[in-house]
Amino acid sequence: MKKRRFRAGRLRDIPALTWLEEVSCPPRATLEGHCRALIENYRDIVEFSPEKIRLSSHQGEIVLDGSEMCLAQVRPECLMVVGRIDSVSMPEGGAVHG
Amino acid sequence: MADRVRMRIYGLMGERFLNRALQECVFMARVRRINRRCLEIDASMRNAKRLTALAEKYRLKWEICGRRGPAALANWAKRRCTLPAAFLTAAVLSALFLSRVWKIDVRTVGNAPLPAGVQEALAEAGVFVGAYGPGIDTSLAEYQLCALPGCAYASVVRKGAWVVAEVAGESAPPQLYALDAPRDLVAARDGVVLSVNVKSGTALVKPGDTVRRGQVLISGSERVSKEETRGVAALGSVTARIWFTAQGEAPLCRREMRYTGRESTSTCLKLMGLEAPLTQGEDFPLSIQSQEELDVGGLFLPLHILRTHQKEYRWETVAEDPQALRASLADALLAQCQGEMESAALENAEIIDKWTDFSMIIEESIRARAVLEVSAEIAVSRGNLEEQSFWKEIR
Repeated sequence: MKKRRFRAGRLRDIPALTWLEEVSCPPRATLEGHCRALIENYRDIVEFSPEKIRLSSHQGEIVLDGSEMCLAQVRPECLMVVGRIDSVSMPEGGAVHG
Repeated sequence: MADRVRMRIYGLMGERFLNRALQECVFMARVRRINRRCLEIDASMRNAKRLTALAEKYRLKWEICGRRGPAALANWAKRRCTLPAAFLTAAVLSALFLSRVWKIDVRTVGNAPLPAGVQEALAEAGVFVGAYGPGIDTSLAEYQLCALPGCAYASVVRKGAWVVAEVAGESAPPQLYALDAPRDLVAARDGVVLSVNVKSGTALVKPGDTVRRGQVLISGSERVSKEETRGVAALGSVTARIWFTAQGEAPLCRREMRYTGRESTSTCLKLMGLEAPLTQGEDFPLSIQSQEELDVGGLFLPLHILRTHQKEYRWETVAEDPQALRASLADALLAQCQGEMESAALENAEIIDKWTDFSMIIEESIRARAVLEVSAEIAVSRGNLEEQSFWKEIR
């Protein structure tokens, strides 16, 4: 008997849950100084380079500018950006804590 | 610590690969962009397997760069299973090596010469190269060394594989003289008296007097009464100003060999002592020649080509730097004076002044005279003076 595994990523494929996620989970960035940022509720990685990271979310695009940036603890619901972060721009409705 | 794999994924759409991996719920510990085409990903062993499967699915090139964690450590240890044995062998060999004595350093303490037979005495006491270190009895070695004739003090210390033996030779006994035997103290060198200190006898000179070598400074006679004198051993010291001089000469020009740049080569054929010229080069009156033998017939036929190479040269007169010449001449002459002062072995000798006079003379050379002015005790017994003269003649 084939073992069925529950995968959190598949939840995104259900339209009702996607709508619920859009409404209830706005993107959020938590900054720890200039060297670390925790991004929650993102959807996709659009662009990734040491100088610029662009992430898409349900409410727009999250853009991080800096240098020597890399991704750490990459998970479907959140990821951490490590490096020298100069600026973070969030879409309307997004929140930046720091 | 969990097992961690570092891998590289090559491809232009790295972001799309990451999104696909996230959709598959692959967690990545660290993602770094190496260049436009390459992503470096750290992930757990399980996630790394899923990432490689994903890369193969999308036909992306991938490679494993490194592994960390217990599994990697176990793998590393498995590959190096002979390492503990090697460490153990090295430790045993080091212990064996360091337990033996490999160097014996014999040092002299003081100015006295080293007594003869130090190495033999150490060997008798069991101190030799290759001896078992902890088994060495240093006190026995010291006893053996002290038993040597002319040895005043000995110390033997073991420092690992190194044994240091410090030996002090006996210094010469002080000069003995009979108190009753009359003697005079005479001047060891010419000079001007600076001070006179008489313990017994009668001073015959006073400060400011000029004395000659051999002149009596303190007479070994004492007046007992107005009419009577008696002979005593003269004791005391006479400090005088004395001079050591040295003269020298150095040419103002030197001859230097310079190559003219002209060269010639002559060759001749040589067979068992017979020579037949092949080419004749120009002969120079002054040249440096070098000859080269080239084999023609190999081992079986002793046929050679003898090549003579000549390089012409000429002698050129080069002027010396006068300042440097004076300085070097003065240094050499003053060193000569100092050597003479040390060989005179005067007591309490102290340099007061030193100078060098230069005079230009004909034949383009410079002459110098160095003077070392010294204050020293010059009163010695006549026996000592004769001994000094004897050794001077021998030298």
